[in-house]
Amino acid sequence: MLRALVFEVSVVVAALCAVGAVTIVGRTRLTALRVEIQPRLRESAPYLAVLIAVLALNSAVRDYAQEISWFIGLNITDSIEAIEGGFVAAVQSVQTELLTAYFSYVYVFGYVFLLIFPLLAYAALDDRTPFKRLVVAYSFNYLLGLLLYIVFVAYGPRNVGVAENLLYITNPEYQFLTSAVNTNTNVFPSLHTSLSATVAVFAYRTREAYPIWFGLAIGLAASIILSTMYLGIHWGTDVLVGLGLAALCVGLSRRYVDGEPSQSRVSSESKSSTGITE
Amino acid sequence: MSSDRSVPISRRGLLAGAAASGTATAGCLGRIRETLGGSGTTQVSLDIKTLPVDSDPFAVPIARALIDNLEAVGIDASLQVMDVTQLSEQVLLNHDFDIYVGQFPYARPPDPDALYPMFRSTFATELGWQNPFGFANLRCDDLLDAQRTAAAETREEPVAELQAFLARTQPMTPVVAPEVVTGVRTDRFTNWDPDDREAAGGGPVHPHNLLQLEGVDGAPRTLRLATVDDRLTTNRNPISAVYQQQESLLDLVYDSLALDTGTEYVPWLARDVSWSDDPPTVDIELREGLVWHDGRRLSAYDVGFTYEFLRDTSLGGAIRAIPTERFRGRISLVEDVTVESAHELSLTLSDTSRAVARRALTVPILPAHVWRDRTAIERPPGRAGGTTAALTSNNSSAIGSGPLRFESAGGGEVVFSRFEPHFLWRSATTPTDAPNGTASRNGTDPSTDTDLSTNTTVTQPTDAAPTAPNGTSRSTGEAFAPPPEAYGGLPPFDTVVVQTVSSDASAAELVAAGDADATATKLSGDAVAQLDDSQAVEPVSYRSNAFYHLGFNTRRQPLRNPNVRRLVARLVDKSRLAGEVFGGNGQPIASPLAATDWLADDLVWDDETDADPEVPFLGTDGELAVETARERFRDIGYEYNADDQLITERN
Repeated sequence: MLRALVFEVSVVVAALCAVGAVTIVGRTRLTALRVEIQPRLRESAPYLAVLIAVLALNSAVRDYAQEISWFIGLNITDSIEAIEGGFVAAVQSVQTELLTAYFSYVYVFGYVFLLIFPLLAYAALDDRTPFKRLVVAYSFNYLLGLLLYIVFVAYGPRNVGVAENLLYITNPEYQFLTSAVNTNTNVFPSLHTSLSATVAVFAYRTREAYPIWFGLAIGLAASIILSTMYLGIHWGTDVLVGLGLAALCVGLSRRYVDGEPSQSRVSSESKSSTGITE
Repeated sequence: MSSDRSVPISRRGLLAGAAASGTATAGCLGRIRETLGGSGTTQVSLDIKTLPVDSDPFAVPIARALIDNLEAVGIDASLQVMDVTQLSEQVLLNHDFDIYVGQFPYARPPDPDALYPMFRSTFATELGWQNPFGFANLRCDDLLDAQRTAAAETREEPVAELQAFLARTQPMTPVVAPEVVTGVRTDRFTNWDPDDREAAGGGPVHPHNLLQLEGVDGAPRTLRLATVDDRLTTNRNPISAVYQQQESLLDLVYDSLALDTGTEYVPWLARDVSWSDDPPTVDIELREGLVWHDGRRLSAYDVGFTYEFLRDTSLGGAIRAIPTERFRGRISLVEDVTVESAHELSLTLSDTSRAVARRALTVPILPAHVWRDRTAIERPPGRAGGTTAALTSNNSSAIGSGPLRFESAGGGEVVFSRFEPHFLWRSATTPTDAPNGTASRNGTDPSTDTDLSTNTTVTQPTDAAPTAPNGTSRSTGEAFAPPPEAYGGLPPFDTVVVQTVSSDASAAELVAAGDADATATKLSGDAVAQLDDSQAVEPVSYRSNAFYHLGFNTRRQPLRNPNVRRLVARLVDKSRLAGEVFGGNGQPIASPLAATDWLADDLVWDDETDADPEVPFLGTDGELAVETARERFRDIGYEYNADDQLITERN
């Protein structure tokens, strides 16, 4: 079942990326990318290596981290509930079948597309900075997320009877996917939120190069963030902290990857702007 | 906080102020008094621990209903949700809880003696499923002893008295006996729910019931089950309370001397069992040619070892015995073990009726060559007392002698294979495909067939007659029923795969999609709805003996006080929960023996008033009568502060 789902998600996201490549990235950049992909990837290789290492660490220690987490971690589920009470239940009160279907697809397919596509889009830019920074921001998100998951144990609202389990009741097969990626005590903070918000901020920064993507990314990120609560998976608190984490990671990415005005000189043949709006 | 530096005000002055002022300011003053600290009063607070919805769709709603009403009467109640290992560890090993919501560890309709380890004061300091409530009451001890020693015809009286006593003192509150639904596929295996299986026989995925499945011709010989309980993937220790639950497939990995089918006891590893009195003794003759999964021979020595070992897993190494965390009540029935030969032994039992004593024969028999090296005393971090390697071991290779042999675990799956040389199938296996290893190992091959045919006639009930207490309708199996004919034929599977999923809905989805043959997990109403999609799928429902209850930690205030426990019990509308949480598929109950013939007349649920006969809900139609309830707390000596909080002396 898991394999079939992974296949389904891969196909859908690949198709979306293909459409996005043609409509958003555009022919000119794609053609250039065909020539430039190798040197660009080579240049970004250290950053990509870090991201891959973080992801590998994440999956390698997940089960182990879970145990440490129960041992040393703070179980904050009841504190979160004490803070926000029935907020998520209120979000769910506007429930309709159409909304549930929309948010379920956005949560699974939209999210993967939102994370993958900008890598492609930024790889096609002459300016390497957004690509590198995005990769670094992703790395920080996963790394800090893992640390927070170890320190804090929390169940989502669906698991403590505050909210309904809308994703898994309408699309129970999705649980095979989400549980392969994470455990149900890792809800604080919401990485769906922090990564989506991270992409949205980058989309804002690159809005001159990719105006359509800017609008699309903002809409998609907002939907994903809402979906985490609408589906009963995350608390409002997880989302807020997720937004904070996104801000931190974007900040860190700017600190560790310098903007490269010199780059535009190197690739002076290219007439496109850096794509970065500082 | 500014209040920290505020001018000290005497408590009396504050109280006077609070009393004199109107409600508008009283709340504020109440809070100031709280923050002043030191001596004085504080709000009564209770933590309710239970499993997340993913693991148990019913426990959280019960806990929530309780919490709402606790808060309504001014108690600061909070929900603590944690995974099953964590919960078991906190409740069963560390006794670190106020109230937990969970299921009683009963796979079968319990004999009244199953209450013995749960409530006898002598077990209050032990770990595991032994008196986790810390309940210590001499009257209760006497009644528990009395039901053990009473002759069959007089046993009813102490059993009824015991139930009345437990209902009155409420060391735990039985809530609902659930009707459980299992989703099964019928396109590969059938006979999930044979017509002649009695309710006591359990559900379709009760481990031994799986042996009665029938195969569809040409279907693959792999049986797939889906569960939310992932503990078998990492730990296969049958005597660990934290990692083992009732009706785990490990029940098919470890054999016992006799098998409780729910309706009778059938000889299992034992070929013959005979009872004698003065002192009460049971002589056991093992079946011929029993082998462990690693090929070694299973002898009476292993059996004798098991009974000694479960009583003290340090085998004398610790100053105080460190007993098993499970089966403790049954082990306490055995006073002495004498191994007479490789296949004969006798157990000297404590002074009990035979109906109780036979329970001692249902503990899992462990291989001495594996477990005798696990006597080292350990002090794992975060655990209260000392323990042994036997209890902390994850027993990953799980060498037993049962019908299933553990093969592998990983990737969320646990794989078992059918153990070819098991005694169940020796007659079903033709001589040519009999495993050579078995025959040569024990050297008894010519007699195997005759042994099994003798088995069908041994242990006539009359064997035990001369000195036996008179039988009654209740003790059906003082001597054993004929050997396990019902389990005899070769099952239609060679491999059993248990797949871990993250929720009941996923388990149902796997069955609906054809990726599993049955759910081995409780299904919520929403999950049952998943099953409708497919034609070859059907829901099978049965009454579970593992009733939901509130467990109170009577070691702690305020739950040390039986009056408080009774009032907490009265905050729960059992009948409402049975209807709403269990969708009407549950029976509200007032006694732990509710599902048995032993249920005391006074504790039968009154369908007319739909109220608990001993601790009726303080309200109507699920709505708590808050003022009445608060008045009751005042009646038992509690006070409310100006914030309407139930208060207690600060410790």
